[in-house]
Amino acid sequence: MSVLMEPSIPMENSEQDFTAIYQAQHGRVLRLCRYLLNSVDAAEDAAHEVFLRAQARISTYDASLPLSSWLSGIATNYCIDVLRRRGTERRLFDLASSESLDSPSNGPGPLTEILTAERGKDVRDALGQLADKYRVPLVLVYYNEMSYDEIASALGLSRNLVATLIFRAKQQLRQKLQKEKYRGMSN
Amino acid sequence: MECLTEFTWSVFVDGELTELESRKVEDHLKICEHCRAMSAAFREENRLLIASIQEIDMTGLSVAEVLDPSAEPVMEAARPVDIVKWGGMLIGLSALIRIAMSSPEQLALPSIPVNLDWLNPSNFSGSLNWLMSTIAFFAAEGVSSMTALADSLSFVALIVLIVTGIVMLLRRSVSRSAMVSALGLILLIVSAAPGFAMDRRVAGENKNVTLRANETVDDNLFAAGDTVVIDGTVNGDLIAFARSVTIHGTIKGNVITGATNIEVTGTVEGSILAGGQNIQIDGKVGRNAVGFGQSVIIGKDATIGGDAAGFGNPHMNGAVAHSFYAFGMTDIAGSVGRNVTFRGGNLSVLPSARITGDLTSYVSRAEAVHVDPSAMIGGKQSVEVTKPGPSRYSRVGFYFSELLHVAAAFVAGILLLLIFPKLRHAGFSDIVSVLKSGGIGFLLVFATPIAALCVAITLIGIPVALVGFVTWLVGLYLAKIVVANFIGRTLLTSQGDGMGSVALALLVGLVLTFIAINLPYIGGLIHFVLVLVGFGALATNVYGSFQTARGSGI
Repeated sequence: MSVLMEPSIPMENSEQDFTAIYQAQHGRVLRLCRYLLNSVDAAEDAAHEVFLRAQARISTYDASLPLSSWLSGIATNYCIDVLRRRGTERRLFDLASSESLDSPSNGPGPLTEILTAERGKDVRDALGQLADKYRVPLVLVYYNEMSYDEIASALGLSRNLVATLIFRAKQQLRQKLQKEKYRGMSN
Repeated sequence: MECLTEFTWSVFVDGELTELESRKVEDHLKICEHCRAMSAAFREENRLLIASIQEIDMTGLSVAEVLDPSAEPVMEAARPVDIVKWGGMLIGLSALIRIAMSSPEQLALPSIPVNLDWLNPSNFSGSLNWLMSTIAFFAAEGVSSMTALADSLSFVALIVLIVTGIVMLLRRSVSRSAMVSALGLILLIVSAAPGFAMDRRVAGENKNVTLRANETVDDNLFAAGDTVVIDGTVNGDLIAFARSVTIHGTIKGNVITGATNIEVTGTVEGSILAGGQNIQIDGKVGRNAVGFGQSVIIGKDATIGGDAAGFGNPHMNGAVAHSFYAFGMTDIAGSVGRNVTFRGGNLSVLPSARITGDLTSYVSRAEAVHVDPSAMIGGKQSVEVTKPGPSRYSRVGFYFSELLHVAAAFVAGILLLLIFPKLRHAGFSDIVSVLKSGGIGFLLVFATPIAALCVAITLIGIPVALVGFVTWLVGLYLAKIVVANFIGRTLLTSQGDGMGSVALALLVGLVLTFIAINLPYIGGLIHFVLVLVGFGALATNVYGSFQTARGSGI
């Protein structure tokens, strides 16, 4: 037998390992997919697919990096593909390129006073109401904690455009939350 | 250095400025108190947003899943509970608890609805989602357990409820044209309802309905299941309720559909009325398209032969031959043969847009409309800025007039219960009886004036028509009293048959009913449903009273 042959991982162990990975990471992956796809059902399908892909590519995983980042990367790429397949995202990001960086804004300022901890649900609701082109970069920066450069390369956009989209996304989030606040008060 | 722009703040707090830029900002902060305060506020806001978004999201995950991340999501368990909730909303906020109590087997489910967010009535898209999923469940599961009559009637009523409900929710931003398109479609179903000449394909939970590419349905097709896929041809109308509805084939008639995801890539020769979370139209629609959804996308290759209306966040990239009505955050990149009317948050008309007629926007601030200079607009472009008026709830007169209404309804109710004692015990044992009453009420509410008109046209019947019409008006007024009486009686458990307890129950019910129908956003819908259900119950009980009287020889 050749000594050069790589030692193979016993099948049983690797499956057990993967089950453990699945149990530890499924919740986070599912939530990421849900934020990106804005649909519970689609997110379930996506999370399933992400773990299938992860299992197939487990040999490419670089153990020096956190497992959660690696899975988030697969999930992000997969969800962006899904959004593109929906036939909207490519166009939506194209449209975004017509936005100018220095266009005036009259949105509300920082919402510190109305954003208390118990309003987390409102924030998530408002996030769900954002258009894909705003929601996706915002989720990547706030949930996935990716840098602008990483987002730019994941979405195939320029860094400046990513910055603009995130800026606009925050503005819209503020508008929606402020509207929600007034609605809450008038009720 | 000047004070920072909002954009720079955004990048700064995300820690994404270049080193040089950051240094400039830091230097500026040392000398500018205002910017220091802003910096702290934006940083705090960022922190809170990140905390909110990263928090475990209970709304999207089942309780079981949060406790045990390996557990599979238990989506299906929520559905029966949705029905209870839905039934509760039907007869008003205050009746909700009691109605739920009347179906203990449904309440006894141990699991909590996985997506409570859907039940938040102030969330438009949320309401739409649970309405759709409930209807999908109802169509798939409930059909077999009901009598044919209640089935047909309540089905028609349900369709009307969806549209009316959404219109009520958006009543400040309703375009007549879109309403007419929707109502036209409803009338179409109503007219088809008595015969119900339909091919019905109803699959159970997790089952799919597929019409294969070589299959043709010569009739109207009613399809319900987990997913509905139409690859073949339907020569009549298609009515489909499911989690996902996909149309690749050809529908010669109209399409009425409610689903979480709706995708149309085939050809619809008539009109489309679609309600759901994601609606994507990429195919050809011969006449009008009306879509209610969180995202309504008319794709690049789509052509709409008539008008198109999108409620939610419409993206219009295709070609609309007539006018386009948009509500919500809207992007227009395609072509519109006539006018574009927009109401809502933000409108972007993109460089590729071609609008032959006028572009009219009704917005709360002029900056919300962005028209790219290279977009082509043939007609006038106007932006109407509407400032919301003071809320009616802030006027004392409103409460006074409502109080008068309650008093008047109370007097009328007491008279009604004296004349028809049977009505004192009129009620609903379960959800089916509510739906039955709603269905009968719907027919009476809409059919009576039409029948009266027909009788009047024949001249001989003018007095009959007048009597019929007045009875109808009285019935409309009394309808909610019947429901209020039921609510009051159900809530006050220690009741006797004495006039005092009857009056007390009626009063309590009326007060709750009036509060419910004056709720913001959903009050209109509650009122409408109360009238339908109450009218049905009133008619059946009064009819029952006459039958009893005749039977006993009086």
